Amino acid sequence: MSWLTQWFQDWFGDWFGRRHQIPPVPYTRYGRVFDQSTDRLFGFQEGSWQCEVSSGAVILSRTDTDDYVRMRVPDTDCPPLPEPNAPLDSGLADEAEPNRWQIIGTPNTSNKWLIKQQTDQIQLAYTCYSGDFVIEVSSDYVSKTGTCTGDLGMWTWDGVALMFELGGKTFGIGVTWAHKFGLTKEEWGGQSGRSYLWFVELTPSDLAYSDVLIPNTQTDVRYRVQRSGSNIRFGMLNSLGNWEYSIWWESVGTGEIQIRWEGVRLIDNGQVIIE
Amino acid sequence: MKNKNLGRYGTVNDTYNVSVRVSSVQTVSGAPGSITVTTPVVDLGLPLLVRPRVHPSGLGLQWRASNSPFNPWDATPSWSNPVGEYRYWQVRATTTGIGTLIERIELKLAVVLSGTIYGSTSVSATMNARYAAWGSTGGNTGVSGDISVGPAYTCEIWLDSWTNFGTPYDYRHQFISNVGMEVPLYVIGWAYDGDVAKSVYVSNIDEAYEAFGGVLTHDIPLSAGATSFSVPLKISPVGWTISVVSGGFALRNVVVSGNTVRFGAVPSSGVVRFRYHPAPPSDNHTAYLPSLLRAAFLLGCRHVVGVRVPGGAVASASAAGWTVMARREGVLYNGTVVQFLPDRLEVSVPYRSKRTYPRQSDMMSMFSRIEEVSVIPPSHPSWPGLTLTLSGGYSANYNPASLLALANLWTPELPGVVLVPGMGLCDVLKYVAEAFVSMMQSARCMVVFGTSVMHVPYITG
Repeated sequence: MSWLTQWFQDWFGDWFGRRHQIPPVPYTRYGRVFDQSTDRLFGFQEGSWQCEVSSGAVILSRTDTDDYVRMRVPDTDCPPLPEPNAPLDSGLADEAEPNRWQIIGTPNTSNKWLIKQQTDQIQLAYTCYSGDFVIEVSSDYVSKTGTCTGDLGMWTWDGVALMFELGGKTFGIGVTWAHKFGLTKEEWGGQSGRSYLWFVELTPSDLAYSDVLIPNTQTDVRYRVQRSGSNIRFGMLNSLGNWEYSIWWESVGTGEIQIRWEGVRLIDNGQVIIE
Repeated sequence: MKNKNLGRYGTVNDTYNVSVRVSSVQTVSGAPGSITVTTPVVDLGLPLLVRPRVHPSGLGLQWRASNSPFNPWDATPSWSNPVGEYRYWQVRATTTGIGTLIERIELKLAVVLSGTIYGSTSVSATMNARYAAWGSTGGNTGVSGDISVGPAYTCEIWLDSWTNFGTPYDYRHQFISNVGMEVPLYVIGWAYDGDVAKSVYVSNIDEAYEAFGGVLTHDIPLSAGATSFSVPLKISPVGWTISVVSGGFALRNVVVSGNTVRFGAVPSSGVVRFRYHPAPPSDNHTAYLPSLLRAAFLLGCRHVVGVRVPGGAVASASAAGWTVMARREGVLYNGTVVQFLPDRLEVSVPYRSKRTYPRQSDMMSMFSRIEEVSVIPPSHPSWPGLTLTLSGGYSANYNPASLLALANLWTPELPGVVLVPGMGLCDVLKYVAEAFVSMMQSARCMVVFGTSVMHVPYITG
């Protein structure tokens, strides 16, 4: 069939009562290209020829000649990045997914992901969650460099948070090192220590936040983000093994989000805006 | 880093750089119940039986087929996993596992098992097999068995003088006519040219040579006074011819050495046609595919299939987002020049006539018709003004690694005998043998390792 005949059928077939027909493809292997004449990637597109994936799926490239299809979820056991690039074709998440995470800075990912507040960022390469969801992150403070001094009544939080944008707002929750000058917190036994911090940046000048202290004895440090309808809230696992939740942020938006871990620093005079 | 300073009543000097470890991320709820990837509708050109496959193998797989074309979104035909000969096929793979990736979908040609073996009439062998596998049965020195249809097939042990594992290629083999059943002979080997990991059916020696670079023909332009020319590959001493195409002179005192042809000075310019059999690389010659195929025909086999091992590289070049790759692995395509001219594309493979492809409005359609190279354009391409010279092509080594790759990439289309030459079971790693056994069990073939053609005379002549 000549290209002219094909073009004519594609564009005018319906006018003449003939059903629009996509010509079939000659390719017999998808997802790996060993032979250009017979193989195509899942992500190929040549005119109207392409593979279709369901709404919860995403096609990710592995190499120029290899790609795969995975669920649009961020689930991970935090493998070394940007590798692993092996074993190829194992079919297992976290193996050979070199383009799943986008990295800024130099996080040390040799043993899980050690993210530095001031320089590093790790972002999921695709969006996920078209509807309700609960995502849970296991994370903890490890170390710090530098100093922090301040006037009485000043509070600071330095750490790394899971962030995403939704409805024009920035949402974040993470683990921080909190410093509360002038206060001696019993859980910490001093002025500073680990703390969950969540925040919602409503506008560039309007930030709501709150925190939950993490006692020195607590080893299981996990936080959550939950969406129901268009409402969002945060959850933090306390030292008793119970989840403490923020208020619901209502009508903040629907649709897929793109998550990232990024450094965060909050400085305030100690007045909790929303609890 | 996101900084936020809400303080209005005091000062802070904060230079902390906190490190936080993220250990795991989990979707508690909200993940898709399943995901699916669906191929386009595939046209096989004629009704064929297909065995769709998905990798990893445990995933859900559905397909539908028809002998009338249909659209990818059409409600019919139903996704009923039909078994039969159809021309149009569509496959979809599904996973419900949050940690499972869909790696690959393949439409493998299968065999119709209905009374006789589909489309096969040929040969079998009695060999000194050191390893063989037949369906789900097997043995160390040969095997008897039968396919579920057709007469029994027998492979008998033929004792020979082989005694030493240190000289694994010194044993011999013979082919005999098979009166029980006719099946194709799949010969695996190394070649300078040809498709890799594909069954190439050849009906005679000449076809075999053409398909796998067993004979090469070069038109060589000569200037007046020229006394020599060179070709890309070493020339078999007894396997060449030369003729004068134009120039009106005769070549005198022609001597061939290595890959160079020397002769007395020619009196004028002209073109000579040099046709030669490349000499196999010394470390590969027991598995040199053209020689093996020739041997098979000389020994009376009729339905012979050549299979070139993969693992080499195609010559390629990239510029301005465009990539051009030779369609076949090997050194023969190094130096290929691809030139995008305003009205055409020219492809000049070394020592071959230049091919011209007129420019068409449908670039992809035009590129699909180019025989020598694949052209991969960038996104939203416009016709470039580029000249690309391909490089980096080479053939795979013939070794356990390339055999393993072959076992993973290729499946015989019909039940038959698969010959793995030049390498006995003692020479391949266990997992290579297992890969072949696995492949053969699904393809209902017999594998014979460890044969050689060293004793066949004039193998490249």
